[in-house]
Amino acid sequence: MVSNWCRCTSCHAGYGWKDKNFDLSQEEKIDCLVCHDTTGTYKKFPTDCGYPPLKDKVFAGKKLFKAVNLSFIAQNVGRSSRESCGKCHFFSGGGDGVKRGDTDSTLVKASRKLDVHMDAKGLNFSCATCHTTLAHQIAGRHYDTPAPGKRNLALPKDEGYRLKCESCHGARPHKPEKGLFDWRLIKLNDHTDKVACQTCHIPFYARGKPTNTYWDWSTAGRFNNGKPIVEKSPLGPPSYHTKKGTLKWGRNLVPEYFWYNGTFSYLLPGEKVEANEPITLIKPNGSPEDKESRIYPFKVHLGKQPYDPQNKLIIIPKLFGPKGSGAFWADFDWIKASRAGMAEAGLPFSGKVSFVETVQYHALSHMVAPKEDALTCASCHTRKDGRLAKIKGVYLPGRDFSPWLDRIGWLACIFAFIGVTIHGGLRIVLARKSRKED
Amino acid sequence: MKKLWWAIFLFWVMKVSAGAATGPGLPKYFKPAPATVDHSKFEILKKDFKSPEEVTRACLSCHNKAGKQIHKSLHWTWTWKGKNNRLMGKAHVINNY
Amino acid sequence: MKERLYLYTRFERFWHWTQALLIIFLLLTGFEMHGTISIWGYEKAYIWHVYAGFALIVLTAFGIFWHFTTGAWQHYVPVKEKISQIIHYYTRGIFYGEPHPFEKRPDQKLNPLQRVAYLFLKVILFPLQLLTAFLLLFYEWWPHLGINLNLQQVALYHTAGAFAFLFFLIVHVYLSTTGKPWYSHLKGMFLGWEEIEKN
Repeated sequence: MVSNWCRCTSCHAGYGWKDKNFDLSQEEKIDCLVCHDTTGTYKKFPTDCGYPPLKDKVFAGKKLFKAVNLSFIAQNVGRSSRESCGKCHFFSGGGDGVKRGDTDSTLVKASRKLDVHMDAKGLNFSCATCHTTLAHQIAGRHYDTPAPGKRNLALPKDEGYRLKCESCHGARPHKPEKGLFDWRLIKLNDHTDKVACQTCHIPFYARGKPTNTYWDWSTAGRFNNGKPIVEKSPLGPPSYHTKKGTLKWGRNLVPEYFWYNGTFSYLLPGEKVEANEPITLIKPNGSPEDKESRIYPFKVHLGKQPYDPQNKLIIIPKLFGPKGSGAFWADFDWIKASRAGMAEAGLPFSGKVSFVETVQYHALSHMVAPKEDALTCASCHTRKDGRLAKIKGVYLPGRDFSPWLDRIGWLACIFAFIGVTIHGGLRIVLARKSRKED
Repeated sequence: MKKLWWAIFLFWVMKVSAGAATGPGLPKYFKPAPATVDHSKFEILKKDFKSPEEVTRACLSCHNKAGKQIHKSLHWTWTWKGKNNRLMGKAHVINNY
Repeated sequence: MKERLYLYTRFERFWHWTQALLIIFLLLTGFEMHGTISIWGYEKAYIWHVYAGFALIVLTAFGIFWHFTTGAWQHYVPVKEKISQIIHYYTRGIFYGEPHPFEKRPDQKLNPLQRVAYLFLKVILFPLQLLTAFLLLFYEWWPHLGINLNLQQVALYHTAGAFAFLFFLIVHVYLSTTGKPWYSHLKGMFLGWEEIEKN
């Protein structure tokens, strides 16, 4: 974000964060409307540092942003909604559904199939139904700090947090529809010590819009006879874009699964890292031994981005800015963009740019499917290619076995079978013989 | 041995009853309380606002604690002080998008 | 000379055949969960395995009660006599039409080898399977009951027990055909009456 202020801060809940000198103590710069607009007409202009368009304005030569009617909006403020949160959160990564893979604009009018809780004709949850908010502090995971609340029913003493699935569903969530007793459900409930709710109940991600799975910045900056190139992928978003490089997209994707204790580790700017590819930027923490860890689904995102091989730093390039500022999207020169970006971030730059493969992980918690779409036992309890084929540290019946025990067991049984067959054969043959002799 | 079986039985009863306490029949609890205010009736919101900052000042003239609350929030600071004082938040971290 | 003897009472036959079916079904569903075969799918295999397991426990409870009230448990008390003759019979004599050295009677229905085999089954194998089954089924409760075991090890013991049962089943089914004529043991187990050759 550093050095790309006005583009990025178009999603800041404030106005005018145009450089690092922005005074964060000003109260009138708070944007109340972005969250509290209920008319659906309030928008922030994508390159105006958080300001809404006060006159009709065109973005990127294409998209018209109509002037907002501040009085009308101010008179119709109210609680936040899927739409108001979604104005920013559905578009993280620079477009609808690009980054997260489990939140995009299709949630505004969600179907039951897409999200059983946000189902517009059913439970119709807003974001804040789960992201409980007290005095403008919105509950959620904050970087390396896990989300508040326990993995159990939320009680009044839990300060109103009900962010986790268990906050409402409890630690033994499956209940028989009739009667007290259902062995199937009891065993399903037994899974909650190792397996997160999301693992079975988010069977696929990017079920709304396609999400970005691979982003190669190294190919950005190509032109066709001086004109920028945009090639569309079959799913809709570009597979090549002069400003962005080579992109891959996916829909209805199978998550990858890892042990996760609710915290992430981040590689921060200025932290030296060897170019052992792929470099992990953001990864979930957890292990099978850790009692807080369970198996969760993740979107894995691969990237190829600029790296300073001499200083061993991930480069923060300046992307957005006017011509001559070094901004890549104006000057299309990685060295200039890197120099400008790193200078603004207060980090050294050697003048050399290489591109490295990087990886980051996104925990999937949204777009919970209805129960009939949840994974079934055999999705994981299978010898080969199960969803949890790579998960270590747990004995998974159906997947795991001892090859030696199986070998010995089958050999013994086969020997027994051969033995009795020979014994029986001999009995038949010798009985005939003795009958003949008689 | 008898004690063990009793323990198992009690445990099961506890688990089953703990489960039964949260049966179906949702949303009342989740619905926000009905609004007690109609913002369109406030004189202060009826002006022709020239800038969004004017709107904010109008909001804060009544919601006079909201400004400080927002200033503490991650949506405003884009900064999160993590473990070992590592600065995180959208203003600080890197990603590969 | 042949004698017709009533060896197996109605309950005994019911117990034997129900047990046989349950064990075969448990083997099939168990090996499905183990990942060896696929017939019903994991979920059904699991749930039916559990039901069949409980059915077997109920049956076994009745079986134990029956054994103790009727004194039939005494059939499993191991004896030393004739063991070598019986081994000799199964490895040689049987092929040459020699008579079985052991004579079945209502008060001693099992030959000394059978006594040892069935005692092993009842005292070692059944309890092993039952114990490991309960541990696996209720592994969630281990911490609450102060049980500190390795899930994988328990699962492997249960698998080993399953192989032992399969081994027993193969040999047992074959040996049931060693009567004279070959189906006479089977017939006895079905009808209760068996024709025994008298020496």
